[in-house]
Order: sequence, then C-alpha cells, then structure tokens
Amino acid sequence: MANKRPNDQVEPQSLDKKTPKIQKSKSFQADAMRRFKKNPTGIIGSIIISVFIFLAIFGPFITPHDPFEMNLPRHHEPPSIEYPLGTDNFGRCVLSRIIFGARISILVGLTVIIFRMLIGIPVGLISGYYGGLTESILMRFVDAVIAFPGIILALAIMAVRGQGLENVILALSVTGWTTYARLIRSEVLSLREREYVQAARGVGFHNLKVMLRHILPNCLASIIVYSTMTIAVVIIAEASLSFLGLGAAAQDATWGTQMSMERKYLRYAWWGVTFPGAAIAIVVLGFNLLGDALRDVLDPRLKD
Amino acid sequence: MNNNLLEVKELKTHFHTPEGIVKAVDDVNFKINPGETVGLVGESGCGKSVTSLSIMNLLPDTAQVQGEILFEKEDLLKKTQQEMRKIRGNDISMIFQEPMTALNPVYTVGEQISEALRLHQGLQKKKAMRKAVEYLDLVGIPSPERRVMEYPHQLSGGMQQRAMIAMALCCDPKLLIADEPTTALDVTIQAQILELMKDLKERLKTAIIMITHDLAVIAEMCERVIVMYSGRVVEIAEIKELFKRPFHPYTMGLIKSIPKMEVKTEFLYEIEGVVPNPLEAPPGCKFHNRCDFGDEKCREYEPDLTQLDKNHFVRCFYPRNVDRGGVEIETK
Amino acid sequence: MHIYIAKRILQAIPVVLLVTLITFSLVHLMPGDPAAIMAGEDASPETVEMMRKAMGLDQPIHIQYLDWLTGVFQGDLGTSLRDHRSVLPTILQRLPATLNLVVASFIVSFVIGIPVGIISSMRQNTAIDGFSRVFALLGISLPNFWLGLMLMFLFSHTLQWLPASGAGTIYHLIMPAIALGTASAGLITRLTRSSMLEVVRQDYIRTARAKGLSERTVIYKHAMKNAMLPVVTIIGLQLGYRLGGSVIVESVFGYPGIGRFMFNRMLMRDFPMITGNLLMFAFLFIMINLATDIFYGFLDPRIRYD
Repeated sequence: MANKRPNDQVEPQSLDKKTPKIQKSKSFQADAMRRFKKNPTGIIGSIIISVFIFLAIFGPFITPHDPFEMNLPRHHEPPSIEYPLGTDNFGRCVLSRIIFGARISILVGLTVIIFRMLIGIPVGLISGYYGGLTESILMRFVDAVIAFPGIILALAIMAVRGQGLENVILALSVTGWTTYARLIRSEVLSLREREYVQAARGVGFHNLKVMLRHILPNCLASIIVYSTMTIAVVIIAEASLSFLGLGAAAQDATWGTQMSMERKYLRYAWWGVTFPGAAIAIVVLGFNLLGDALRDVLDPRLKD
Repeated sequence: MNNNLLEVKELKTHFHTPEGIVKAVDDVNFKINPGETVGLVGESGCGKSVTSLSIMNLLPDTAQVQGEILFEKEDLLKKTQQEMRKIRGNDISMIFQEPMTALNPVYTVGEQISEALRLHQGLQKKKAMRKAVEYLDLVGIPSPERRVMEYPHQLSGGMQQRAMIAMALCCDPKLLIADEPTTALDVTIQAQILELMKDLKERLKTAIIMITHDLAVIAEMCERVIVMYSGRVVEIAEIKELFKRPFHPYTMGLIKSIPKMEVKTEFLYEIEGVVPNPLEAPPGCKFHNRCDFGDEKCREYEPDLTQLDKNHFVRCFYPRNVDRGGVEIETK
Repeated sequence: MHIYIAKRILQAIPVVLLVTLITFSLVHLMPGDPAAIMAGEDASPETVEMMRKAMGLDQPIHIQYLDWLTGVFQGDLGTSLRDHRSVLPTILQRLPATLNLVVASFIVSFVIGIPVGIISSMRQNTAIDGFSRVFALLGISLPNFWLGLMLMFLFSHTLQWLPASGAGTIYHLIMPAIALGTASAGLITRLTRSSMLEVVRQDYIRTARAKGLSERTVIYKHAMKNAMLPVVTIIGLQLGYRLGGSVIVESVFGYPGIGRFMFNRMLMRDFPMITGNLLMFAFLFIMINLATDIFYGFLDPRIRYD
C-alpha cells in the first residue's frame, strides 16, 4: 500500500542515514514555568493570593472606612451600599476590618512558617545525614512532640506565657516544626545514597558543606510545596486560637478575633461572623490551589 | 496448515494522544500454529508489546484497534469484554517482564494462582490451592507446599517468574504470550527459565509467542521468527533460514550486530540511525533512512509483505539474498 | 510478625518517656508558686514552707520528676488548683463525650472520603471527578469553627432542625461531627484518589486483568487493598488533629467534652489539670498510633516479613 504524504518542508531528503536533530533541552525552571502557566488551579490560586497580598500591603489606604472608627448608633447594620459587608457591634465597617486584617493574618502565617523552617530543617538535615544514634534520638523527640495535639500544646504554652499575638506565633512555631523535620529527613535519606553526594564526600568536602550545598537545594521543591500548604494550615490555626479569644487585642484584630467578638450575635447579625470566616476560607483556598499546582509542576513524580 | 490457532490479519492499533495519533501497530499479519513457538523480535517501540496486548485486548481506552484477530476461527476483536475475560488466563495467557511488580504484593502466591483456577475451572478453594501447589512444583519451585503461602517479595526474581509461569499455565491455555520474560533476570536465571519453558512446552503442548529483543533467546527457543519494525512485520521465516539467509536489511543488520567469538574486530557493528518517531513517520518504507541498499522507490512507496519462499515473507523491494556462510545454531 | 510488634512497642517506650519529660518541663515553667497557691492567700511563710515540704517541692528536680512520674504510673495526675479534686477522675469523666464526637467525626471522614475518592479515581477527569476534587479542596480550606458556625446558623437558628448546643442525643452530635470531620474528609478523598490512581497503573493490575478477572474483582480486591495502605498510615495523625480540633468545635457548640473543659481550665490557669490533660492526650495518641502500626502490619506483608 503506497504511503505517500505531501512533504511540508522542501528539505532535500537524501538517502544517507540521518539521525533526527537533537532538541535542545530546556532548563528545568523554564519547563516548570511553562507547565505552571498552563495549570488553571495554579493560576487561580496565584490570583487569589496576589489579591490578598495586595490588600495586605495597600489595605490601609483603600479601606472604604476607618477600620477602627466606632459608630455606635449604626451598630449591626446589614450589608448595604455604604457598608458593603455590614457593621459590627461597635458600628465599625466589616469590610474595612477584613481588609485590614489581611496583613496580620498573612504576616503571622509567614512568620510562623519561617520559624518552623528554622527549627525543623536543621533537625531533619542532621538526623537524616548522620543517622545512627543521633537520628534515633532526634526522631524520638520529634515523635514525642507530635504526640501532643498542636492546638492543645499551643494552649498549654499560652497558659504559661499568656495571651497575645506574639505568644500565638511562638506557640504555633514551637509545635509545628516537626513535619518539616520529617519531610527533610526523608528527602535526605533518599538523597544521601545518590552518587553526587558520595562524590562530594569522597572529594573530602566538610559534612556541613555537603549538606548545605548538595542536599538542601534538592529538597527545595518539597520545601516550597509543603510550605505553601502549611501557610494555609497556619492561617487557620492562628484564626482558631484567636477565635477562642487568645489572640491579639482589638488593635491587631485578626480575622479570628473579629469572628470571636461577633460570635454571640450570630443569630441576628450573621455578617460579622460569616465574612471574616469567608475571607479566611478564600485565602486558604488560594494557598491550597497554589500548593497543588506547584506540586504538579515541581514534583512530576507525584503527578497522576 | 489450515488449522491455525491464531491468525492476525491487518491489525492496526492506533493511540489517540494529545500530540496526535500514534500508529503503534500498522498492518501486522501473521499466523501461529498449535503447539508452535514463534518469536516476535524487534527494538523497543516497534510495536511487539502492543501487538500482544491487542490480542489480549488489554489496551487503554485511547487505543483504537482495527483488523481481525482470529483465535480458533473466532474474531477476538468482535468479542465483548465479558467473553474476552473467559479467554484471558484460560485459553490465552500472558506473562510479563518484571515478575516483582507483576505480582500483587499483598496476596500470597498461592492465592494469586488459585484465584485463576477458581475463576476459570470453578474449583473450590481447597482444591484450587492444592492444584496451585502442583503447578508450583511443575515449574520447579522447591518446597511448593511452603512457598504457596508466601508473598511475592519473599521469593527471588527467578522464582517469582516461575510463579508467574505457573499462574499463566494453570488453566492449560492453548497459547502463551511471553513478553520479555527473561529480560529482567540474571543471565544464569534466564537460562533456567528458558529451559523450564522449553520443557513445559513439550509437556503441555502450548503454543508460545516469545516477545523479545534478544536474538539469543530466539535462537534458543523458537521454531519461527517474526521480525517487526516501526509497527510493521518486515520479515517472517523459520529460525534456521532466518539466521542463514535473512532477506530484510533490518534483519541482516540485527544479525550482523551479534558479536562473534571467533572474529576479532575493533568496532561492533551497529545499525546507524534511530527508530522513526511514530508521530512523524516518513512516507515510504519505514526503514529506508537507515538502510544500506534502498533508492527513491523506497522513499516514496512502502513495500508489501511478499512471500519469497515456502515459509519466508519479506517486506522489501530489494531483499538481499546473501549467503552468510551461516551462524550455526543448535536447534533440535 | 511478633518481632514487628515487639519492635514497635520498644520504639514507643522512649517516646512515652520523652512525652513525660516535656510535660514535666512545662509544669515547671508554669508561673507562680504552687505551694503558695495551695496554702492560700493569707498563709504565713512558715505554712507555705510546710506546704512546700509536703508537696515535695524542696527536693532536687530529678527527684521531683521521678516522684511525679511514679505518681503518674499509679494514676495520680495531680490535684486541680481550682476545685482541689483529683485530676485523672475528672478527665475520665469528661472523656467519653469527646470520644463520641471523635468517633462520629471519623465516621463522617471515612464514610465520605473513601468512597468519593475511589469513585473519583475511577472516573478520572469527568464531571464527578471534578466535583469531588472541588469538594475535597473546600473541605480542607474551610476553618472548622467557621463551618460549625455556619451549620449552626442554618440548621439551628434558621431552620431549627438541630440543637445548637449540649449533648445527649445523636442530634447533638451531627453538626459538631460534620464540622470536625470535613477537613479530614477532604484529605482522605484526595489521598484515596491519588493512591488508587497510582495503584491502578501498576503491573500487577495488568496481570490481574490478563488473568480474566472481572473489573470489580480487579478494583475491589487487587487495587483497593494496596491503595488503602497510605490511608491507614494517616489515621493516627488524624486523631491528633481531631483531639485538637475538638477544643474548638466543642467551644463553638457548647459541647461538654474534655476539649472545652480543658480550654476553660486553661483560662483559669489550672495547671495540674492542663498538664494532666496534655499527658492523657499524648498517651492516647501514642497508643492509637501503635495500634495503627500493628494493624498496618496485618495489611502489608512486606512490612512484617522484613
């Protein structure tokens, strides 16, 4: 059966053996960026987060009303043109307070993540790299910390130190670094036996240098993906603690605190509770979407 | 020769992918006789595995299959999934390349064998398990009563493959398709498994399609050989004939690539070029860009599979009839 | 198998000890002088000193730890600063209610999560799959207290179908269980789905089909057992999350469990109660994880025949 096909290119086809042209390999980053742009969840997530970061930075300048201005006669007004999300118990504009709360919630999220990394990553690196008794001891310690439910340990710490936003940050940092430790440790375990690590050690590099220059950069993908999803968790955790009344005072009202203060009026003025909570949910959703997309892009092993 | 066990006619298996249509198998024809061992040879990506999966109808939904696959005169492609399930594992069985991953790690070996027996032969649990032990013994696994309760990871690679063979043969199939069964094994184990298969073939009279890229395995096991390239059959011949007088330039290249002990050489011969991308297959003969002998006709038109001799078929305009002064192979 | 179990138990022991150490350190960080508090406001310095001796607080710290530890193993977790009752019985009295809630929320998570995950994986990239993934994503994104409040607003305040607070009947459990279990349901859905998708691609599934097994057998016998393994491993962690979440959910719904109780005591600075609670939760967590590990050993033969 003849198999003629019109030739698109007018390239002379000689009969000598031709090897097809080798495609120039794109760099990993460029490839990852390309795939990320095609990923709808990633794009939506990025948009959401960008909006909130924008609000966090420029929020105070664009709030329709002063978030702290009380206007008692107009307390608990339902959403209207003037107050798009209604007013709270003190007549303050809910929308303005939510915008203002964005900066604190996100700041807290970032701070806690950084502290957790500062504790968890070294623990994971050291235990994974050195193995043996060091690893056993460190990992048992990690197991012990994990055994305490996060919120409860945070509560206990705050019982010792008192309330307030700094203590919330402290409590969340000290109780949540364990997953970073486990994550890094398992990465290190799998990387430790790779040839380039052994080569580096064979050349005589100091252990620390091997860890920092050869192993840690390869954990970067996991760290990024995991951090994105953890920021979401931390934001919820901070909101939970604030909701229980342990968070900041009125000045730094986070979304959780706002909900806490309006909680008793849920029946009659649902907007005071619903909208701050919705804000939390949307930001968290954004981070989760972004985290999903990043995982698809950076860690193709995990892809379906 | 009209009691063919299996007759594959104009088989085409195309995959619909986002990048285009991949013609993994494009017009494949061959016949298998009862009790015969036929080798299916070719490089990776030539379509030999896809052909076998097409026979078993184990392809993903993106595959579109055309043609006829006549098994004992019935067209398998026209059968429903339900009907095919009665045939799989029962009349036609298949074994795969990596025995470690081909066995379910959370069930015992005995369970996986007896499950086929319970399904196809309606045996009760106890009886099926006893038969499983018998088959483990048949494939040469020592202490089969003990092994039958063990899990795949407790067995060595060779024993796992033996267990796979037991599982495939326990329902006495008429045809066994072996897809690179020894590729993942050590050379010594490989030899043992091939011996086992030859032995079983004699006893059970099963026809075997031996899929491999290794000509040594072909030489050891097969009576006839089908050579595939880029989704097509390019040569069919009896084994001795193939090694002595290969007609297709690709086959010739393959045989020439086998290093010979007696001959001293600086460079190993290799066929230049690479297999064409199935998405951008050039017109004409699929091998022409690597061929030593072709011309313009080969570039434009694709040759048909023609019969040159009693049992010798070639797909080439200029089959070379080179008397190679033969590589002697031991066949019975 | 026995070796596996023994190993696991052996590994748990140092963890338990470390847990006691951590708890004890926290006890010691608590501000205030327990002796002074126990002796009362107007006690004289001598009385306080006698109190201190009686409480064993004049001993060196490692002796205090050992004394405390021995007490713990005998069931004495201290005395509440608030109402001077023994800690352990008080905790045990309130524990069942929380356990009910936790079990109910586990049911919610698994009964929703696993089937949806499986169906989602079998109908990959269809509308059902898309819907399930959105549902799962929402599940893990909604704060549990917000969800609880929204449920309360809808079903209690507006529709008046369910009670907003209290305990006793199954109606009291519904909303709290949903609030507590939704995030987990989302997680389990995702995990089950991705696990199934990976398992179904494996060679042994192809082998199972090549044997002529029905698709049902292939999925529910061969695929599922393998796919469930990762899900089992997270059960223990999920428990930890739930114990923490119970504090919040119980507060939202005025549910009389140990979580809400603990929180109140925390506000009152009732340190013995708080630390006793900590110990109890941590211990529960370790036990459940041990049980889960052993159960996993039954499921995955590769682990136990190592």
